[in-house]
Amino acid sequence: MSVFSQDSESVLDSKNNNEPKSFSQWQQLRRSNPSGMSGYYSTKSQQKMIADRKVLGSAWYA
Amino acid sequence: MRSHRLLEQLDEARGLFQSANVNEQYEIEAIRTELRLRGLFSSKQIRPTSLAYESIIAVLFMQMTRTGQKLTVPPTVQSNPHKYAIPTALPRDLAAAVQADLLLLKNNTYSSTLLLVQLVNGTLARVNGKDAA
Repeated sequence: MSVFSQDSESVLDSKNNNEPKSFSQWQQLRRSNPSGMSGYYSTKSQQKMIADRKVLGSAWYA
Repeated sequence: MRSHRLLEQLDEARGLFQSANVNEQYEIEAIRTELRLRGLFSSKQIRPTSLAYESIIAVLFMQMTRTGQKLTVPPTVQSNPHKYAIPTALPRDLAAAVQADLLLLKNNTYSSTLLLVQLVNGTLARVNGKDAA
């Protein structure tokens, strides 16, 4: 049983890791986890962010 | 020297980037992403210094669309930017911006195109159109 009353929408949630993240989700990551291997400013994250922007198009900002 | 003005413009953009509030950081990140999507900042290995540089260029482009300011880059600076304390990637990224129709180049001077104005305004509208924070 989860201690949370509803499903987490965290960008770090393993359930959502393969789903394209929105701009605000990426900015949430920038503020919560800016550095490190999986941080916002890592090469991998930046490449994934651009890929998500391409996949979602203008809906990235929605 | 004419590159002095370019240094001032870069310093001003750097100051705005470093003092940006939360919402302005969102705006800078969005513009930086859109520019990268259009072929600027093509280095694959991303470092903190390059991200700061990319953010400063994003602010610079935003300033160009808002104030109509132009960038004059003399040929000597184009070919040896490091000798004038100009980021070495700048000439390449300005050329990429011209290639993407975001900047117009005439007599060593870059000015914003309507496409850049639309890109900046459209992106800021999307970012600020909802509670991004």
